Amino acid sequence: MAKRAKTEGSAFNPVADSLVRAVTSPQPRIITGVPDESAGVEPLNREKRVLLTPSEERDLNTFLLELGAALGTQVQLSHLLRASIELLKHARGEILAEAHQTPGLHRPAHVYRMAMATFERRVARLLLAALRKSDPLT
Amino acid sequence: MPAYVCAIGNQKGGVSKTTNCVHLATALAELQRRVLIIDLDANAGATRHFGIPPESYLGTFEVLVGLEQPEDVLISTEDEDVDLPAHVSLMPANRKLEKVEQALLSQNKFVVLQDVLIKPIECLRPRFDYIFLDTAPNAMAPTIAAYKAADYFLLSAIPDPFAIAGLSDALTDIEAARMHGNPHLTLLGVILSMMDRRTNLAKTLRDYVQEKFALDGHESLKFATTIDRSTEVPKAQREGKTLFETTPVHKVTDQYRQLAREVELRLHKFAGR
Repeated sequence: MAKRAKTEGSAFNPVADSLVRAVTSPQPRIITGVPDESAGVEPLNREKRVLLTPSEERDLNTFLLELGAALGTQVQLSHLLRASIELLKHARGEILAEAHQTPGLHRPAHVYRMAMATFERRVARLLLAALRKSDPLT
Repeated sequence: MPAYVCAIGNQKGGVSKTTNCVHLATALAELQRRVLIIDLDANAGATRHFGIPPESYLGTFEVLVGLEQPEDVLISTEDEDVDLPAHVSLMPANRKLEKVEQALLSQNKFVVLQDVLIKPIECLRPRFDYIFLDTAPNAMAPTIAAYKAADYFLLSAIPDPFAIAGLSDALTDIEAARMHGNPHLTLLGVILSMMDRRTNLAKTLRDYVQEKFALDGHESLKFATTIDRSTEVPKAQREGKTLFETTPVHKVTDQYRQLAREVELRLHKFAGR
């Protein structure tokens, strides 16, 4: 059965005072890009490289633009990949369980492009099956 | 004095952004100010409002992707076959603007999309007193570029709950632009249009905007002049003209004249000119 959010006593007030104050203050909050280490936030400074074919890169760029258009904001590759990593971490248990039940999966050498594509397709199937079994992401 | 660059927006569509932009620009032009409108909406509302067929001219798309110099695509009263008000120039838009992001990224994947309007505006700024950026009701590259390149932001709203709620998204984007590279972007004010003074809802929402933008005892950023709802506006749009040409003597036309004076005074005050 659908659950309603509590709205008792809430008047029409779509524009937050804090937002108006922030915009009308003479100086904006300045984002320096340097994380606050004292607050226990780890810096984003580890880089991982992934090679793509030109057509894969084009498809990915097009998808990012389409996703950005659908969301009404700019979405960069790093946002998409970090969100995907969050999803994989969330379903880690189900992914490992699914892997244990998937026999005969061997990584081919890089030179065998077709075999590598098949391998990656099978890993994708495994991930999909695991994600379907995982709890909703809150 | 170089031009004031004012973006006009609200994330909600149909809230008179283009109508306000076109009429405010024309009212200022009536005061002999040199005014440029840069149409950043693929729907080309401002372009159509002046009776200009969008697909017939090069414009914003070509400038943003670097195919044309900004001054080369401006339409003015000197051009044949167009009927722009005196002292008004237009950089027209057309449907190609929808694909500006792909076009820019295909040229150079390191291009900073949000910065593509800065150089064209700096190039045009000395030629005008006012440059208005008519934005689309979305957060695509041309709109975000407007937030990044403008000095001032004019919010456009109508007495409709969704339109008022849309102000919140626009404020969020203004604040984001101030934090990420345009710290001097200043909220100039809120224009309330399509007012039907007979309804309680319109009065309630007008009072809400009045009070919401007058925090901490400051003078409200809602402009004192509000624009009434009138059937003359869509009639003028159908003819591809402004109210200044179709009904120069009319309550709403006078309201835009009054609004233009108010906007100019506030700009001078904010800029310390």
